[in-house]
Amino acid sequence: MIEAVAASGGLDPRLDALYEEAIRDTIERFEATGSPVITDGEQRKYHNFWTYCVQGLPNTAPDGFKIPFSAGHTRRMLRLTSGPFRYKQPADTYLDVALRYARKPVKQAVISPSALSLMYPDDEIPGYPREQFIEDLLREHETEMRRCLEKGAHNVQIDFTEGRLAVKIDPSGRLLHSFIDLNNIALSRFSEVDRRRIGVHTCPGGDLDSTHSADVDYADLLPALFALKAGSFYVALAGEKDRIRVLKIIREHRRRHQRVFVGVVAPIDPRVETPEEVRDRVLEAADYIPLEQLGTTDDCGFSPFCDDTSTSRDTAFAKIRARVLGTALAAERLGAG
Amino acid sequence: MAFDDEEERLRSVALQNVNAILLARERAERELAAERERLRITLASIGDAVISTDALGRVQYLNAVAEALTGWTQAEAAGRPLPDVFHIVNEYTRHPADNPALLALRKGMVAGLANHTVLIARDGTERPIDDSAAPMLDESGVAVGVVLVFRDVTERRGAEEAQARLAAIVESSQDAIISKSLRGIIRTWNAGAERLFGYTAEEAIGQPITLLIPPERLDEEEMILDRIARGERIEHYETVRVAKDGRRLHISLTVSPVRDAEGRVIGASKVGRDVTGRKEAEEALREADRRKDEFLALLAHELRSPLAPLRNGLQVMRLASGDANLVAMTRDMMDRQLSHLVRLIDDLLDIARISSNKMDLRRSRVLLADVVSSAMETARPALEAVGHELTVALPPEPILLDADFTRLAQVFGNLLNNSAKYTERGGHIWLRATRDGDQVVVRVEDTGIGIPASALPHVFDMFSQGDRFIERSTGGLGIGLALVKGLVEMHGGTVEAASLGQGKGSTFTVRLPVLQDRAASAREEPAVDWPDSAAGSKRRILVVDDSPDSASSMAMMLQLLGNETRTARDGIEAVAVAEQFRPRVILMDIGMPRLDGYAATRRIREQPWGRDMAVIALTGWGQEVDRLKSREAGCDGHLVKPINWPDLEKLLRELEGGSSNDP
Repeated sequence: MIEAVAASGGLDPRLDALYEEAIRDTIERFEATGSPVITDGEQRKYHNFWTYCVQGLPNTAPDGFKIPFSAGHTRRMLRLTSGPFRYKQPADTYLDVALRYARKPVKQAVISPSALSLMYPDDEIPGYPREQFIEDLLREHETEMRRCLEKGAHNVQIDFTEGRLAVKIDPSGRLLHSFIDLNNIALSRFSEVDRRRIGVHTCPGGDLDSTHSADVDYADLLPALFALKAGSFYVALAGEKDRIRVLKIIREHRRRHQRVFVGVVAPIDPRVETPEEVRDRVLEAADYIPLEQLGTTDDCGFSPFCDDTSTSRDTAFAKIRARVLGTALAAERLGAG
Repeated sequence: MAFDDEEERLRSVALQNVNAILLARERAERELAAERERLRITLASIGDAVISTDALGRVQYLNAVAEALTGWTQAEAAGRPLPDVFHIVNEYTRHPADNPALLALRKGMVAGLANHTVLIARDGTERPIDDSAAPMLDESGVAVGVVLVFRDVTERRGAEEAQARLAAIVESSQDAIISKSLRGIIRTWNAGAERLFGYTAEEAIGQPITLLIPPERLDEEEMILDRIARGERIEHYETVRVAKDGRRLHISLTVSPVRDAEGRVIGASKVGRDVTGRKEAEEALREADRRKDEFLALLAHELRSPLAPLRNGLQVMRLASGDANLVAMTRDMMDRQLSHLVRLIDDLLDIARISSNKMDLRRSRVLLADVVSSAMETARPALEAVGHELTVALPPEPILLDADFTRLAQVFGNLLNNSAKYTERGGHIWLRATRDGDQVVVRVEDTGIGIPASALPHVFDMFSQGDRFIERSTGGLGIGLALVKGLVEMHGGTVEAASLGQGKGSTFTVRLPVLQDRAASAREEPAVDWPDSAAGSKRRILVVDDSPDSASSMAMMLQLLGNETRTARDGIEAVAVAEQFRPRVILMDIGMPRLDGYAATRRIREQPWGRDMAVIALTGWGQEVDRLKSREAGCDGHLVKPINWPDLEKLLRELEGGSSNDP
């Protein structure tokens, strides 16, 4: 599959059968882990979790900005070359396929508007003002989200990995707050009931076993993050050096109605966590987050970029299984069943 | 690699968007503000009152309607506990009502008012209200306030009460009140309809109205619906409908169109009144009228019948005056016919008196045996004429009655005559009397033609079919038995008719109360026989009558009896002739031209020569009031035409034996 994608480009229709098989296999193995909520492993997000929806648009150029990773490599984004801005491949099309195979609730991940806002170049595009682009972006994102909700996604997760990156590139917080504003404009278009099914994911990035913003203090991010009008937050925690500190920040800034899913396995760590390790991390988190609002997750996707082979599928499912088992152990210990 | 350059480029790109995002946010906020304003305007514009509170139940917002109903302004109410502003009590108990807003706040769910809640405004005005309260939930589902919506339901309550009153009227109406669709399907059905037609509302509603219409009248429904669809009203339409048990009912219908709010005819309301009783009464009246007409025709016939032989008799006497036997036979025949005519008229007058309660009984202590004997005398000619055998059986002991001898004799005479008439020649008639406690039971039984069972209930009715059936067979007015019944009842008794059917004879049973005292007995004196010669004392008699024939025939008769007579044609002439003639007796007609009999009598009495004359009123008017009037005018006696000679003779003897002014 990887070789075929590398050879023909990810959008070749001839790959459809392979993608379908990958999705079916992923869902089968995911459900086998015992996880109560599954995903399709984002098999069809070519090239990555960030640009999946705009990949192949004729009004883009591959010379967008670069995301620098700690391992020394960068990932270059697409650049918008002209208006209007439209999604080519919204995530709900992936959900259609996943729901055909899934027997358990499916969570669908989508990219945040703030991440895609970075496609508009430094210089104004003639005839397509930046304000119009923002409007188009919000509309496209809202449409994608609404379709996912309507089609039956158990949850929709907005990937907000650039939040922590924003703090890194603009320590003043101005950029972060601008991102929060943009995402909140989109979230405000949904009802309270819908927003309870919408979550936001934050992490320091994870590509080729390295991060883009692990050095950014969560203390600079989380207070603003919890201002997002979402019902759930998927916070990478397993890879953090001082989890207690992060948990304290969460405890301090979390809103009453917000559920927090803490990361208990780290995809960038090649080692598979033991269930006991996971259990202890959950018990640790339970000291700071009320049980009814505490959940567990993986710190990040296991392969956010399609050419990342640093984590094998076996390892990924082993880590997920460890998360599920560890969480169960913790629940038993906590008497939460 | 220019790591710093890439980061700087990223920063630059990102920050370039900040302003655009800010503008987008401002636009979103403006839209939100505009939406809130629209909401505010909406709340201010809607007809219902709206109050919102914070999480502690303190008033935050009132719309204009809420201000009007509570009497609090937004500025005055803001921050006050809701019960201060929204003061509600139970309409009947006056106890504070559960505040739905606080309930909604507490339970986090929509709550409504209990029934009969009254809002007391700041100025004390009370209004019945309807309301509901919904909590405002934050993102976590926690109630952060409540929205209370309420409305004044005074008008609606009034309308509901009016509707309830109307419904009660409809339900309590004796008339059937039914509504139906334009397709003739019954929609409503009141208790009156159930009483009238027998169907319950459950049975009738949803059924076609043709349920009540007889097959031969189904066309009516099409006509009614047609007119209703045109918006016409049908009033007092009299028709026939069928009840559940199959009875045919005469119904008066008033059908009105029922219209919807836009005035379109959507159905019809029918008010049906049972007029079966009225119809039957009308039918009975028509029947009575028809019988009256028949009777009048019969009366004319019966009155005319004796006239022919009378006229023939006169002719015979004129032609055969020399044949004393023939004249005597003719005279007897004329006497019988005249008696028949008199009896007819007497019966008519008697029945009229009984009907109008104007008959007076001259009660005295009489013996049943005497009464029966008198009745037999009366009936004898009829019995003998057809060869009937009469058997009479009376109790051995005397039966004393408090009765009018003549009238009671008339009762049994009529019954015997009746049996004589309706029994074939050579029949047998029994009159049996027995004592039954304090009553005497007199049965008159015959072997006659009997009475059909269907006629028995009507046999004592005047001019009844049963009676007519009988009377027609032998002639007569058919009032004899009615007279019997009236007279018996006036005596406190009863009379019944029985028959085993046509051809099986009849039995009439009279029950009368018996007087206990047997010591005394009384009876009317038997009638005086006809004078057959001029045996009486010779008198000077003035006959006054405006009918020359009546006057001259009377005078002729009196002369034949040996009296000296004069005649006068009216009151004035009577006074003049009386003065000259100085009669001993004046037979004074009453209804006359120029001067009537009363006035003439008064004038005569005013004269010295007239004070001792015996003035006897001789008139067709025989009621008590007529006798009184003649007495007041100065008459010494009162006789009813045609004159009964024995009565006249008796009266004259009395006058001659006593005071001339005191007969």
